[in-house]
Amino acid sequence: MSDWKRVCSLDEVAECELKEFDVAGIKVVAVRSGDDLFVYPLRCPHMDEPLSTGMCDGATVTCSFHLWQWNMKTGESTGEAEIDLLLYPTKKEGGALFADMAKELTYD
Amino acid sequence: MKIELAARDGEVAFDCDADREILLAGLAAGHGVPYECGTGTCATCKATLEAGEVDEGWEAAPARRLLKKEPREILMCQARPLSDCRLSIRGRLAQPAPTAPGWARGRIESVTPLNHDVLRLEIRPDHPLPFEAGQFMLVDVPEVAGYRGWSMATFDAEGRTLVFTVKMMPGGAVSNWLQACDRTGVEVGLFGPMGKATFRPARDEANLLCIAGGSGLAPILAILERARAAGHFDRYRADVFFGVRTFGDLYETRRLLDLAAACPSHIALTFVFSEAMPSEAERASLPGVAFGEGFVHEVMGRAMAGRFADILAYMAGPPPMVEAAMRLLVMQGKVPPARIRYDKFS
Repeated sequence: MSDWKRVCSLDEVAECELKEFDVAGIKVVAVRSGDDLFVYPLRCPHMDEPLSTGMCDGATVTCSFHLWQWNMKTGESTGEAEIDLLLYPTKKEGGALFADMAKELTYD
Repeated sequence: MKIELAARDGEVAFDCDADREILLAGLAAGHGVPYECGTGTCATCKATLEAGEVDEGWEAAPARRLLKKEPREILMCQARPLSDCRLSIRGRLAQPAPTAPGWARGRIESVTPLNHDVLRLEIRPDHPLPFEAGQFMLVDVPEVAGYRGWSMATFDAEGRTLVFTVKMMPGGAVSNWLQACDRTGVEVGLFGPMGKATFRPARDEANLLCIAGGSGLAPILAILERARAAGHFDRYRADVFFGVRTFGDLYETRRLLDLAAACPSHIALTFVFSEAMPSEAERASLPGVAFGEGFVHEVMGRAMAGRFADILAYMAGPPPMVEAAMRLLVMQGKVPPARIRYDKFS
């Protein structure tokens, strides 16, 4: 069963910005590339550091702590990262971004 | 005490005396226990205490703010065991160092001012501590609790002499101790070598990009001298950016100028000033050096534009500078993380 929750309005996340949101008590980070928005768990799978301090260049997300990198659209590791990034399913509706929060995504 | 440390890719066990830090005991036993600063600032060595009791050590360690209370996390670089302990870490074990670090005693041979707030400190260990260019040592001076991480400023493969350049921090406990009286002949505790931001000639065949801010010049000097001695600059070049506030904050410029003079057109020096540009006379005293104004990473970004491909980058200095330079290398330079080397001290 899906559980669509509002993350933010579509214009709240600037291009390549990694922005933290609390969605019904679950912390996530959202990032934009053009018209596409992606939502990951806030914490890096490596050492639990917040990805909101990371970097995005429109193709790759980099955690600023130990420079693990992933394809921003698929979450696949593109370098040193030993664990792929998990993505919440998303949809856009009425000018807002929604994510399916039926299950909190974790790396444990 | 017996320490068991479980990682995602395996488990190691080692002994740790009650007066030793768990991280240091694990490294000395030859295990790849993850760490970066070794001095309580970065949290890379944090672990979950699954069983047993520890003395958590330095209460004000900056990295404490990154620890969870439940389940209880500790900093392995600070914690000493009060019983046998079982710990777990989220990530994998690191590659063990080729030569395991260890404890030593050392004698301060000399303390020499290099400018108004940087001291050159020479320490002779009671047995050789071989190290790689770019590494640092943990130093424990009398009357001040805890280790400080200082990078070696020269390269001595056999590790018979350790030279450090130490910046005096206003109100800093070790700074006050060093300046209170002549400390020549005083015995200190040592642990090392530490650090993964190293240069090895055979492994690291590439043009070098070196970015140093303030007190961060030491490991860069060691790397450049190591590379020069190995003939690295017969084939490759180094672009060196040294950022300070004013002309008076420069130090070890003679060593940098000598290196550049010995490798003409292969070592390019740029000194960057964030507060005041040097006078004409001051500039004239630094022949062959390029000058920049502003933050060292910004000047570096402009000067290196279009030349980031295949470089090997080394950075050392104040944490905000290292962070800014790292972001520029990743975002603008598209430098792969494996080619960006630094040890986090924040």
